[in-house]
Amino acid sequence: MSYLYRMKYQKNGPLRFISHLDLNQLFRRVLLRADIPVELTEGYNPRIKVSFGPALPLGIEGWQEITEIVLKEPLAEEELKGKINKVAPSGFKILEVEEVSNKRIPLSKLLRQASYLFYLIPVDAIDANKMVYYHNKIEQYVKCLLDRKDIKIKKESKKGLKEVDLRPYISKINIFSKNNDRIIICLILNIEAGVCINPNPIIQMLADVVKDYFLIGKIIREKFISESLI
Amino acid sequence: MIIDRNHKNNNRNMIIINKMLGEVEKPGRYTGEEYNEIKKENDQQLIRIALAFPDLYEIGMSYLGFKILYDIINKREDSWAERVFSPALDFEKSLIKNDIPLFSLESFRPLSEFNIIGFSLQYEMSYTNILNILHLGRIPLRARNRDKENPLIIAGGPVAFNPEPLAEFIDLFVIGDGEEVINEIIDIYKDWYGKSENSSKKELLNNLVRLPGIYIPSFYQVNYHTDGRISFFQKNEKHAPFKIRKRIVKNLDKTPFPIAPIVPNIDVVHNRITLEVFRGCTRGCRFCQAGIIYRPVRERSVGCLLELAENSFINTGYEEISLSSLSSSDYSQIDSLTKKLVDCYQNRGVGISLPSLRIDNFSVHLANQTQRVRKTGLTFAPEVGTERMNKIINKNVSEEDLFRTVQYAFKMGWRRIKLYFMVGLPAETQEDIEGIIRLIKKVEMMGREKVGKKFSLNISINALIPKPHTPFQWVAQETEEELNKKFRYIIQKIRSNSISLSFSDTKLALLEAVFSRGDRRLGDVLEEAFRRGCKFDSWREHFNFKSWQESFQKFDLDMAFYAHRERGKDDIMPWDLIDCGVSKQYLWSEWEKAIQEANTDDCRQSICNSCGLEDICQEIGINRNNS
Repeated sequence: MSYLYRMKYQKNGPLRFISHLDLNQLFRRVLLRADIPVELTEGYNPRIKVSFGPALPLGIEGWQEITEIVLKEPLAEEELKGKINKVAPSGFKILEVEEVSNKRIPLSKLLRQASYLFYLIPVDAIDANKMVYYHNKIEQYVKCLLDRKDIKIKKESKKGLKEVDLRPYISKINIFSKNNDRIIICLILNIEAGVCINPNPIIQMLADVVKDYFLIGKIIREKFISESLI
Repeated sequence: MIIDRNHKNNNRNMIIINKMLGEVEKPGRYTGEEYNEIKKENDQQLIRIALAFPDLYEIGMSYLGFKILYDIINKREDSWAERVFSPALDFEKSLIKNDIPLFSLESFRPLSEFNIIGFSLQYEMSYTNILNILHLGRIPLRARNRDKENPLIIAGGPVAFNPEPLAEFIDLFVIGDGEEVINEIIDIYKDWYGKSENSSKKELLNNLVRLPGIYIPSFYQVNYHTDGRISFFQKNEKHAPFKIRKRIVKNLDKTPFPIAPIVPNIDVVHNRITLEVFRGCTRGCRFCQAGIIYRPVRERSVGCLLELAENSFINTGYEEISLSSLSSSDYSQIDSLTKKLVDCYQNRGVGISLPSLRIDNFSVHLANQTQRVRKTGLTFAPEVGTERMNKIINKNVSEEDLFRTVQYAFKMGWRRIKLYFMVGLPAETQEDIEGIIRLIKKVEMMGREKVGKKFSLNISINALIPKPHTPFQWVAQETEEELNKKFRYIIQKIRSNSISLSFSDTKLALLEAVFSRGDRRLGDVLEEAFRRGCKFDSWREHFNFKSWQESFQKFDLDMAFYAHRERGKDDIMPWDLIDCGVSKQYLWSEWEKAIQEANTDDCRQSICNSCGLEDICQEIGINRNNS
């Protein structure tokens, strides 16, 4: 028997600067330290059975990322969470654990959208009127952007420059301003055929609208929106 | 989130650093906060020590000595050891552009605000990086330009056995094992720091120089003959010793070992548990510096090692345990240790590795034990290709040994072999080069026959770099021209799809030879090269030989004088103040035996060779005369 556990975790602080591959390695070591009865893969080089949701681009915080592990014996959900968090490094924390042995839907099919938040922080302190002005400026830009048929950008790939259309991936862009000290933008992207695109080009476009006056602060992947919730 | 931990930086600075991290390659190098990192309360009384490694994070985090000192210092309540590494060029640029001084990983404290900075000296070609770290940390480069307001700059490690090229920059060198002396240094520093208002840096150094194993270069003056050779050393301070005897820890079982090392968040070169099985080696290869300066051989007991392994595993979750030493198959209990480790860990997803293996069937048997299923490559270092050269370097491995071992490895299922060779050895002839070629071809033939198409052979051929404290310290290094001629000849003779050949960069080898036997006049050259932008010299893509040449010209110093000059028996060496335990007289007799093509036996299997460490051996309880 094997037992599948789906877990929501945080990847923030220093860990937002490590790659997906490094996170994978890091999590394996956490599981070994925590002495979790993980199932090993068969073959020459037995490895722990772990799978991850879509990779988080370097620099972005993940508030509710998703991973799955397979155990050889059942463990209470709270116990599993406690054991892992006790030996996790700063920036990694399991938030929720759910045993899903009976509902094995692959993560690539389950997750439909990803929701991102980012801050634009004024370079110098500005007053309320100015804030409204910049807010509106971005809003207008977003309106134009979403009216476009396509948003083509050049992307570097292994085979040289590739053209990608971002438009079908963009579901929603909402803008909020908070206490004159920042503009918060929420960006909801579609996950198409398991592909979760990098939000950075879109974020950069929006930030460029107020280029000399604002800096991009934190970027966060807030959560995933899955099949059942739509 | 990052910068505001100890320093109250404003919003803007925080954004800048985060922005910097967002824009550089591998930002995980600079964030700290890895598992097992040590953080302490920012107490005014704490002695703040930065352990500095003059290369990238991924390299520095792989060295055991660095982890040992981090552990020892942080066990003290009165001190806090933090880490700093050379920033990669993109991050360096970003630091300068944003006007941010180089900082430590633990508390993001600027380097200039530390009490002590300790550099790890592992290879000569990291010297420019040391200057760069000081520079980016906004600390004056020259020791004489720093006073008590600046951090005390100390350094140790194998390359400290010829400290002279760094004499101008480092306040104090630690010679030999650091485990005990680091505590003694901190004790004295702390005592002085408490009353430092009325006390000078010189007074501190005068207190420290009384410790055995401490070399303070500013306490000596070096005088030269007109031809550039050293005429004599002169002491400037009464308490400075004429010989600095290296420090030796006597019992490894009782020596602290880091069982909770930092687990890096990103991949580093050696991302595994390093279990130091023993220290020292008495095989006596005549080119090998490690084989001299780490003597005598001191083993850890199997019981101790098993305990260290288990604790290290629990604390790190590493999936590999590597048995480290200069020659792992020489550990007296190696068979039983490997068996026990494999039995204990193979079902827990943890592998055992043996990085430095002797050339014999026993070693293949060991490797086979640790890699029962998956056979990655096997590496051996025959070094030379003729019996005669074997006797000159005292490697004592015959051709037959190599062939038999390789044959056995194929039989046990290995397909990939890596072999190390050396050229430019003393009294080398064309025949010796042909010998190397013959050996490679024979191994290739055996591989094709036994393994077939999947066979691959990696050959690494390096130029001899004569090192201080070895029997070859008197030898002239071969010129680039001669070396390149030999390399080209080998390439010509070996053309095969299953063999990949790599050679050392002869210009880099030349510079390394210069600095390994250099004197303190090279300090000017070093600083000049640094000012001209030299750094990361051991990285081929950064190495700029032209800048080095110009720097030597500026100070009218000749690389050939250091690299290509044969030294006389009575020449005073720049490192003669440093006593590595093995006597100069013994090294000379070994050099004479080399020319006579005579072997010297390993004292573990034979009688004592009287290398100079007899008193220490006796004290530790090693008695070789009866065996």
